[in-house]
Amino acid sequence: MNQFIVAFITGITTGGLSCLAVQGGLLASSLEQQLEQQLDLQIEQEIAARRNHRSGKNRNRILAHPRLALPILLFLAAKLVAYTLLGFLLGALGSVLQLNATTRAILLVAIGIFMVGNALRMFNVHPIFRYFSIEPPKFITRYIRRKAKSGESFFAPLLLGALTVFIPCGVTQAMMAVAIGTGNAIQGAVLMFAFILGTSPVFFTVAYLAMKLGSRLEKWFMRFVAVTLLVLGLVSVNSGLTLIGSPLSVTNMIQSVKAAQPVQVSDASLPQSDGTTLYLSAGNSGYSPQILHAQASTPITLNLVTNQTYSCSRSFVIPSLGVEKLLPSSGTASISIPAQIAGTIIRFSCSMGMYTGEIVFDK
Amino acid sequence: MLKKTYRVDGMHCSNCAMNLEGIEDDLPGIKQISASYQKGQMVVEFDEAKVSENQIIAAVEKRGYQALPA
Repeated sequence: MNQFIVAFITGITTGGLSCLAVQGGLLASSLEQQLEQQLDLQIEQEIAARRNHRSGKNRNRILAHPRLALPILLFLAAKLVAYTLLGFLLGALGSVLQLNATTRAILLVAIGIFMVGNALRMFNVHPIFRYFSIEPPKFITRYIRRKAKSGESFFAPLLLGALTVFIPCGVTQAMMAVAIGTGNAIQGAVLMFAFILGTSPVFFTVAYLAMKLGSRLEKWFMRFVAVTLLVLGLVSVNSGLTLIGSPLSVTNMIQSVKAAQPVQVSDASLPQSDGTTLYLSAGNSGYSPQILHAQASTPITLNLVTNQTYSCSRSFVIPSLGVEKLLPSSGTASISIPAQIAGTIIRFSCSMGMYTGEIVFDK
Repeated sequence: MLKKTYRVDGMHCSNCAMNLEGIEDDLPGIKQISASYQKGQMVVEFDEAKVSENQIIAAVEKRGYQALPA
């Protein structure tokens, strides 16, 4: 559930602007034809009513005409349907690929590098970063362009909305990779639906206003998108590193510092852990306690307790032991951990590397 | 028929390349434009009897970019 909310929020915050930068031109060109027709009609009426009244003011008024909203809505509706289908296919592809923790980690790191690369491209750091932008094949762009130009009636916005699947923006491409990562057709579809739905209000508002504002604000938007992409990219790389239990990830570094301190916060509703039987609560917002202390040189049992848990913390991973377990939404699942030497730290996380924690083996 | 390569400044995404290729519909005498955002350039195939280089450069500028013969 959390993943879809994150997708929606990503859409509403950065996806909309980023998509608009790539696909806005397409929408504008399909609307242009219609606007011109409307403008001509309006001008003819104006001439008939009052001569010499073709001032710039009229143009502005026509641009804000409510009929402009319909083609934008059609464009967005078609886009939503097309991307949901794409999410379905990507999720299905992910399920065929059977992603385990390591491949998911590699995918997350790759997505992260891709996002950071795109952010650096937007900042114009070096022309080499332009290769992070995926160029669709020429025959597709040519076809899209021709359709945009012909732009008659409402068919054009519908078709163009659907065709945007071929020219996804950087944030969308990243979300498509996450859809593969879900490894489930339905989840992939819902994820893309949530993301595109999130982009829609921003896309609509800005597209509507952009007809007046032009490209003056575009540079501004791009900077904002680039910064967000940079942050999201680094988070993704970090999640990937966490997932393979790398001590280099920021999350694990912080945890290591915390582990050195004897503070241990425990969930009051959990049974008390002793050195050999540990209890860990997997909640909707992560694991508690985040640091467990276990006795060294003896096998231990880790009991994972869930209570109406629907977030990705249900998908429990211990990378170093090759443990992957899908927990029930409510209940207890046990994992046996073989004896470890004193001083060993075993890191665990959810399958997306978002929620983490560790078991410290003491003497 | 001439085939010339231009360096294009001002492109910021692959949609710009598509935008530039749209010039082939606007100017008679252009057979094909192949623009690449990644390379920051465009290759124009045109009939010099029907369209001049200056016209092509002006059309590029009209769309918000700058073209320089490579």
